[in-house]
Amino acid sequence: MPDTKDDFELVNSFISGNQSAFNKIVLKYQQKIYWHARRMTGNHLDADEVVQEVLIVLYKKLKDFQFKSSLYTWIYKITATRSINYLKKRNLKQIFSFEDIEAKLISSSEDILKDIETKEKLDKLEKALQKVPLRQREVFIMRNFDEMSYEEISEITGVTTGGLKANYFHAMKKIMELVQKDENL
Amino acid sequence: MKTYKKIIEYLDDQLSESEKASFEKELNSSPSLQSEFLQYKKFKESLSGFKNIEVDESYFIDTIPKFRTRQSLLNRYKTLPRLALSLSTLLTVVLILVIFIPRSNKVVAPNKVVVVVDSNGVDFSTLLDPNSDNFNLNYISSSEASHYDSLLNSMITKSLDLSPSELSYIAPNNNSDLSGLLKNINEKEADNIYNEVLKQKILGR
Repeated sequence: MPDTKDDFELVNSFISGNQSAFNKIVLKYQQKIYWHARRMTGNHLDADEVVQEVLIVLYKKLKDFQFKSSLYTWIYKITATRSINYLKKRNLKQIFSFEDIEAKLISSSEDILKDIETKEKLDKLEKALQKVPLRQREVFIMRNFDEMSYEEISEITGVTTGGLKANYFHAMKKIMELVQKDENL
Repeated sequence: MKTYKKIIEYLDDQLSESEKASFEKELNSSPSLQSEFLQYKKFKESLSGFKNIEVDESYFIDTIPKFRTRQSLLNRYKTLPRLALSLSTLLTVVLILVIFIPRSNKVVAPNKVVVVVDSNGVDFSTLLDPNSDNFNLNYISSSEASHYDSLLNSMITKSLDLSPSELSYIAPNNNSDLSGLLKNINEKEADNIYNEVLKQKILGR
């Protein structure tokens, strides 16, 4: 968990007009924002779009942040909400479009991954992730990649721990089957 | 609890000590459970390989400049919808004014031929035309003169916002006074009176 005292100072500094404090906050959390968005959307281009949306919201709302939760939890909450909203919009676009936007984006050559082997492995996982419902995907990512407890996830998503566990079990089972079907990771 | 759920809970370290011991005992005695358990364990371990992926760091260096550019663009185009809204509102108001509000100073077109005749079939305009042969009070019967007189009186009362008693000081009230009044009317005044009568009686304004 990131340093809360440091976050408090950065937020206060930003509120009192220091723009570089905002840059520091972004530098500190941008990877977390990116990777959550990337795993949720399944590709770099959409993840980049979500990152920019999150930063715009963050910039607008940071002055109202009252430290009722940690800054990390708050940013993660914004990221999770923005990612889901973005995916809903993308699904709508796909319904009204003749081309398969999702497949096009996933196979897009634009990426930040350096290693081709890692990219291939990640592609398989991303494809499997895209096949499970949003809420199951979300809890799977939070548990496995961000190592969050059910309580933390519950604070972010507003879902009860019981509901989260049910979603997680289904996600874990289905994703494992999908990945095994595709090939061993 | 279903087997796969128990395996996931065990791998996530979510079971209590007694549940853990019971699961391990079951695992040691069941080859099918062992096989399933190994599948989940392997998958879970493979996921940890995705936690720290090596990426092109220049992307993260560009995030803030990209955000700042987008932000300035957003600020620049923030005024456009407001401007468009103001212009469309203004246009709507102008259209409403043009279409629905009647023009108050509408003058009867000079070339518009509207003929008003009296009870004898004489055109009222010739009656008020000083150059006409009919511009003669003798031609007007006393009842018609009285009718035109009251018409004139009501027009003067209305225009000047006078009470009938105030009118008696300034306006004639009998045929002979009307005669004097009509004699002093020039062509332009006669036209104006004619137009005014048309407006009041024919066009209802």
